[in-house]
Amino acid sequence: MKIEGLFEEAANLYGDRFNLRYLEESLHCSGLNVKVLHTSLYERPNFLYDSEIKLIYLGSMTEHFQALAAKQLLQYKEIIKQKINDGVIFLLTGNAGEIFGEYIEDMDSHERIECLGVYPYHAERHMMERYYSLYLGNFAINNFHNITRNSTSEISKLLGLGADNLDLCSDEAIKIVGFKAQFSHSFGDNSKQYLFTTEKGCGFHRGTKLEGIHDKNFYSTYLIGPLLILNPLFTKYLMHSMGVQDPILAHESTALNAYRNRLRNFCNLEGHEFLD
Amino acid sequence: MFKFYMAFFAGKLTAFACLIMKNFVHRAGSNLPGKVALKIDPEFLSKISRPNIIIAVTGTNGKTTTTNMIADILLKCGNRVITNRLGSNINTGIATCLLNGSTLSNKPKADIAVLEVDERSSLRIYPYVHPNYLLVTNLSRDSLKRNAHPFFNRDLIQKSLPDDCMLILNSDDLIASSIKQENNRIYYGIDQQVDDVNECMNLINDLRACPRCGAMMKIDFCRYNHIGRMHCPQCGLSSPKADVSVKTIDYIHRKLIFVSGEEYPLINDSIFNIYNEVAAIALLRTFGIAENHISNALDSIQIADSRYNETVVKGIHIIRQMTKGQIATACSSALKYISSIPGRKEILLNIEDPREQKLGSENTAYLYETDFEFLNRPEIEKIIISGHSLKEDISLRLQLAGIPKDNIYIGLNNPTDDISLFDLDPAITLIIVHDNYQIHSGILTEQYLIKRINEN
Repeated sequence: MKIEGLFEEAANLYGDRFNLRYLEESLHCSGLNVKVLHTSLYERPNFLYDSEIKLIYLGSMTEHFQALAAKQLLQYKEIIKQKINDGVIFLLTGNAGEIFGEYIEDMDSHERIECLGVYPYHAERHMMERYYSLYLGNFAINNFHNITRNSTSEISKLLGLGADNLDLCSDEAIKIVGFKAQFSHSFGDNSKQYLFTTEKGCGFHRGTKLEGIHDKNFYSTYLIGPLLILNPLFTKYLMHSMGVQDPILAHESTALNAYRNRLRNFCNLEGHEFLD
Repeated sequence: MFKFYMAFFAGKLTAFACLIMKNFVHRAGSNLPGKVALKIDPEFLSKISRPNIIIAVTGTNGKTTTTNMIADILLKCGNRVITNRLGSNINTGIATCLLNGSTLSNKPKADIAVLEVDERSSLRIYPYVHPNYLLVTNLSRDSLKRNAHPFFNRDLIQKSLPDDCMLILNSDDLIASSIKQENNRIYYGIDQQVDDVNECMNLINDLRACPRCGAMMKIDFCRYNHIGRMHCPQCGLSSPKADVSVKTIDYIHRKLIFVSGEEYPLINDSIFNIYNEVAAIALLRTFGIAENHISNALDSIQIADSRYNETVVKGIHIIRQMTKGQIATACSSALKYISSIPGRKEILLNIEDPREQKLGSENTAYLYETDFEFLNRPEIEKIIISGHSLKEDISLRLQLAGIPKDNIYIGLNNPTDDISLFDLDPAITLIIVHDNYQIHSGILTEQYLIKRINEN
């Protein structure tokens, strides 16, 4: 199995590179032989010509590098759209997903960065207004293909959760925890293509509850933490959609314990720590 | 001006009250008078008197040490100096310092102000208090809540800096050295030394990609993170040549030998403090202070390392090392240092930031920028994780760093209890690492450990 990390030399803010490292280690733990290809900004991405690449990852980056990355990826816009349509997994964390919208606008200088236009949203950036918040949300079970309602046991079986960890699952969704630290927010209608529903915190932008984009196997969220390490159930889901029948996480018991503790904490917090 | 004088006298009264009640208000005295003054007159900073020469020192690390060094040397050279030595480096702290440095008729008491300035506060300070000189120690990743990344801080600084401000910049830090290209500048640096490497060994390196064109940078040599010398083969961007450069760090004879032939006492061995010393020397020489005056003053300066304490009890070596939680570069340098201590070791990590926990939860992202891989050594036999809410997260991070789970112990909620997990063996050095907001807890843990050894 092959996965590709784009621009890790600069798209590595907030520990995001560990999303891919954790995924790689977990795939190894699940018995898979996985090769991670790292592509730098001016290298031709492998996914353009290598159909064996199952997942493409891009993490948080500086605003200047975001402009360079958007310019580079623009030349591959049509192929990227095709790959998304074909079901290749794209995972984007932090501000990486903004590149797949229509444009990013700096609201102080009003400079605009043209982006890939894969989805109908744009990002607005305020460099003097840093948004920081905890996040608690849900990833719906109807994302699990062929799963019906009231199927906690089916989900837990799919995710390989033992009896000790059934409390982490519900009939409706798996809980998502994380953090947001950003200068920009996205604007557009993601009501049919959101990734998480927000319980505490904000979604695409302040005042909204639908976070991120989920379209076929395209996943984009502002959440950092890193996302996959803080959300072991979501990571298992992702591995399952990569074709792993019995996903096993790296250091699974510790990851689940950390998740359980954080989930309990976030559920109990009153709310002012979550900026909506 | 009425508003200003109201603010001025209210600030003076507050400063007097803080002085009388200093046992109760502690560090508030470095901030509160200025806070009161700015509340009454938001333009206070532009109206309060100030010395003719303003030297500002900013940067991610080393501000306080460098500011104090510069102020001490200038004082020893007979200058009248004010400084915000107590450390409040935001606008209210600067206002307090200038207020304390003014007579009742709003005249400056000193000729020179040496001001430590928080990078994030640049926009609130430099438009009102124009520095003649700005020294930037370095710019690296700091709290992700406030500072995002070092380029953000660089942009904040240069947005507000006057065009006529003379810059003293670190040539080995290509981010800091790129500030406001149109200003006059002096670069300081350290030539390549024998222990420099040709590859960055840290997770954080903000210059793997060229900050201009995005191509992969080529490292000429690296000291830590992005500190070193490098160039871009695509657009030609490269580390600037230092005007003031150390040729040799002579640890044996304890001197810094400069390319120019000048020599100064080496006052501290840590590379971070060597840079601070070189920065101070570069600024003072630019300012016009003679070599021998600087050298004589340095002879009597010590850098108090309150972050570190070492003791031996019944043959057992105990080290207490402070770090800054939530700041990956600070944690990494502490971990690198303790991992280099020779011999068998056991470590107690109490690095949670209690202030963040009061706000609900500590952000875990910094754990994945911190080089816990330094602890993956066979002679580190046990790592005890102390704290309240991040123990499992830290355990996971340690396991991802390759440290065997059997060597990781999750402590109870109190580090003074967790020391019971240490093995009391003179062959094993016991190390307590604690957050800088856990100083009291760190010292208490050390004392409990000493007591346990004595009772054993």
